[in-house]
Amino acid sequence: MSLDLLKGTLDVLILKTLSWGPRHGYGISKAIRQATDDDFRVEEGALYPALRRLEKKGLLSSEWDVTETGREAKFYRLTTPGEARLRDEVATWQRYVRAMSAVLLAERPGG
Amino acid sequence: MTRRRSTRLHGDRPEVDGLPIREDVEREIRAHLEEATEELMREGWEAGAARAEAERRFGDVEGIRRRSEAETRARDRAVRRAHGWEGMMQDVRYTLRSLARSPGFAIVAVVTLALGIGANSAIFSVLNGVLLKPLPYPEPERIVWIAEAHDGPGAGPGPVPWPNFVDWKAQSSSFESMTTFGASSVPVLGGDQPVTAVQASVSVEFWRVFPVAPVAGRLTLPEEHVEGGPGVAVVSERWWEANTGRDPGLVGRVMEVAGRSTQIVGVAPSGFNFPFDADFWTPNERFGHSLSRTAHNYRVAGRLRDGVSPETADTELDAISIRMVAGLPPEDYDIEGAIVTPLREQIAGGAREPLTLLMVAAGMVLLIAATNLGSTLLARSTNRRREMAVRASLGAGRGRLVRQLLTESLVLSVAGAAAGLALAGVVLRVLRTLGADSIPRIHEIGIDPFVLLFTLGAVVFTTLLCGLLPALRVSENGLADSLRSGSRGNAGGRGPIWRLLVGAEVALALLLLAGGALLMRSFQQVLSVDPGFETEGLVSVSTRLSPERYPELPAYIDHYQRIAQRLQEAPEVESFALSNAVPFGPGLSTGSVNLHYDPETYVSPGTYLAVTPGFFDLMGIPLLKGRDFTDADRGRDGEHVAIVSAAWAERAWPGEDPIGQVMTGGGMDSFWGQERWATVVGVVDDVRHYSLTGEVDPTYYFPLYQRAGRSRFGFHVIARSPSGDPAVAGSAVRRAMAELDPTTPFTIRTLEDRLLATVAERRFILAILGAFGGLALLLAGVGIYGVVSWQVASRNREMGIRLALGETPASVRRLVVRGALTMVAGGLVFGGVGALFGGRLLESFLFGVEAGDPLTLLAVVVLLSATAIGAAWVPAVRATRVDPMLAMRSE
Repeated sequence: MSLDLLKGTLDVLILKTLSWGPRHGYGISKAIRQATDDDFRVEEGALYPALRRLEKKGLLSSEWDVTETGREAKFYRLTTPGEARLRDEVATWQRYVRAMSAVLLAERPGG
Repeated sequence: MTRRRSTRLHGDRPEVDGLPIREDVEREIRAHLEEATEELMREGWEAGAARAEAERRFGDVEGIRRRSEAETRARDRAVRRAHGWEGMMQDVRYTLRSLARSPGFAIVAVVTLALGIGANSAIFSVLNGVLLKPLPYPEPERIVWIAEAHDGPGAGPGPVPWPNFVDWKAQSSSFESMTTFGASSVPVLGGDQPVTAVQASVSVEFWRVFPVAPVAGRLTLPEEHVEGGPGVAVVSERWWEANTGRDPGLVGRVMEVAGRSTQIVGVAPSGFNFPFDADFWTPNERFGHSLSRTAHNYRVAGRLRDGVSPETADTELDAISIRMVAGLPPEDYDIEGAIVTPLREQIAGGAREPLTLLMVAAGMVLLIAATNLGSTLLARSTNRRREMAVRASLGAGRGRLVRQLLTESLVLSVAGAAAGLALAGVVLRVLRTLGADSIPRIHEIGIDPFVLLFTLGAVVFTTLLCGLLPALRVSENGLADSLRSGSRGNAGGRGPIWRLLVGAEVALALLLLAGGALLMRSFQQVLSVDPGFETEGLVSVSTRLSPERYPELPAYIDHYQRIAQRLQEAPEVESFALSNAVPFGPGLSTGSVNLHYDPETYVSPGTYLAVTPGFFDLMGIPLLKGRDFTDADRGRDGEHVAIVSAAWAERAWPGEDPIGQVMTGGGMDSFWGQERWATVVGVVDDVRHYSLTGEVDPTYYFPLYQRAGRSRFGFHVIARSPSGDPAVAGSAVRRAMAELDPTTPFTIRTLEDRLLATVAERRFILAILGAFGGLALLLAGVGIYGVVSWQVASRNREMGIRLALGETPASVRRLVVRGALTMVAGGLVFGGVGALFGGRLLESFLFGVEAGDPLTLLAVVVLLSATAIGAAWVPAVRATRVDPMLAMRSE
């Protein structure tokens, strides 16, 4: 079963994917798909406005280049502010997950 | 994944990597779909199905394309904003640094622009305050002035008889309210000391036409605007402040205004002094009205109903005018219709022409200043072509260089405008004094937001004009050429652009100077007109007797004789006369006359004065025939006599001997209760009473002691001291009069002063236009100097060679000066032709000199040429000091 992506999480996934190195849009979507074992149902196109929004915020930079298949594609890379943002987001997520897990997995609280 | 080549470092342009944003997005999406399709095909999908599946997985292509584009556009805008601002600050910093390196240039440039912009802001302030700004009354656009058109003598728009006003008011539907008003200068007692003030007598709806809110007390009430009503007055805030120091006790106090007990009921708000700069408003219904339809006693103003135009109201009143006199005998009326004009037009319309003239002239000064600076900037930019070329090769785009030049002129314009506004503030103070007598609403002028907006416009104008010239030059010239050749603008300013710039400057200066010179000659011509009497050493002391204390004519005559007696004994007074009017002063009236004991005869109106014996002698008006008045021409009984001026005699009794003829002036002598025929006993030379530029005024004179009634509205003592000092005579007369009646206020003015007041507007225009002419000459001189200096500097080498080859310094100087005159010549020709034709615009301001006066033009051309030679001479001399060896080795 696929999960609907939580609002705002796509940005984190993009940042994380790009932390492994510059990638073009299709490469990013493929990486997300593989890393999540297709658990997330991402409309692939939604990636592009998100990429450009992140670029607008200065978290990414982009340039046209040629892919290994010889196609022209736009490559995105993480900027320094982008890297910082990713670290923040990861930390926030971990706290969130810990907190949620603590509640959801807790035994019935004892008196 | 290998990345072979980066097309660009960072996207900071409206395009993304050289692509329009739309294209950038489309290509990216296409790349994704192709990649996805290919991968699906590798997984075994058939081509068509793979494509469809890829698109399905992608989602809404169109929507995503739109959203992506929007994101990137937003980013570009932000980037561009930051970039533009940063670039501009960089340009400004660069400009300031480069100006700091040549402070001389910076100062001259700012001063030049300050003069040009200051002149414009000052004149515009006047234009704005006088012509553009709404009148300071509630809903002023609805207030109109209503005059009567009538035939007969002195035809034209004029005051209105009471019955006509009543009919207009009752029968028209265009007006919300309508009022009569009039004003005269009257004595006011009860303040700190007796003073003269302007009293307006107004009818009941005055405060509805001008619905102002009193700052203390109240306005006059309808029940006070009735015949036999109480003596009440509203006073102006200005008078309240100046004469009582805003004493709240003024409201309720009883004072004597125009000789009548008057209670002050309230204070009108600051700035309200309509009509005629009034300080007191009193009901004019109190003493009744003449019911004659030919007694033109009242001025009329009305407030239009909302949405009614003055034209509509005019048409309506015309129709009423015809209807209301229908059936009346023709001698009982002379109305032909009504003339309705917006009040502002009526008050300030006369200033339109002179102020427009001055605004045009100011604009020309600014054009000269801007051209001046433009040519200097052009010269500098030519000098800096190498610098520009270097900057271009370092990556500054051409647009950036042009922007740099525009920034330079913008910085200078802004500095010039700031200094110009300060200058305008000073100039306005002078103009307010200078124009006090001749320009309506002059006290209302000042620097307001409208003026600031105008100044901003001037900044934009000069920025573009000064900056664009050199900027165009930068873009048209191959910058690379400059870099290659070491030369620094070897054309040396001999191109047509220089002839054009200097020529334009000279032509404009010539126009302004010619205009100024023509006005100056007109002014001299006006002043050289002989008014027919002397003014030197003469002073007039004016006052008005209270009708309550001097109820009868004999009381007037007694008082006058007591004054005469005192003055005869006063050692400071050599000679004097009393009269009901002063030439070029107040009290002058005109009246028509009957002749030959026949009330049916009619002579068109002449000016009349009532004077004491010795008046003609004192004023230096020659007695041509017969005798002067004597002390025996006095009182009611005895023979009544008159003296007429030559022009009046010619009008009344053409070809006959005026001596012994009889005449009487209309109903104005009713004080004696009967009409008296006067026998002409003398003829005097003609005099101009109103204006130096007009014709002589046919005049008749009566003895003041016989016709004292004519001095009801004021009388004057004219006197001369043995030393000829008018101040001595003035204070002696004043003292004598104050001793006899301490309650009368005085106005003391020399006759010279009164005469000059009639040329005040002319003087105002001349002073400003003259200043502009001088400024234009100065700026043109500076401009020529600047251009020639630069030419000489850039031709240093050539000059050195010429000297080395044995040319004499004199011939090098000649070369330089000749070059300057070549540039100037075109301007002189164009300016001269322009002045010949443009002078016509000045025609209505000229007197005794033709618009195309060749002598004036010649003088101006000579003056400008001399200035050009002078301006070129300094750099010419500098050219001869060039050391040939140094000049050749440089570069």
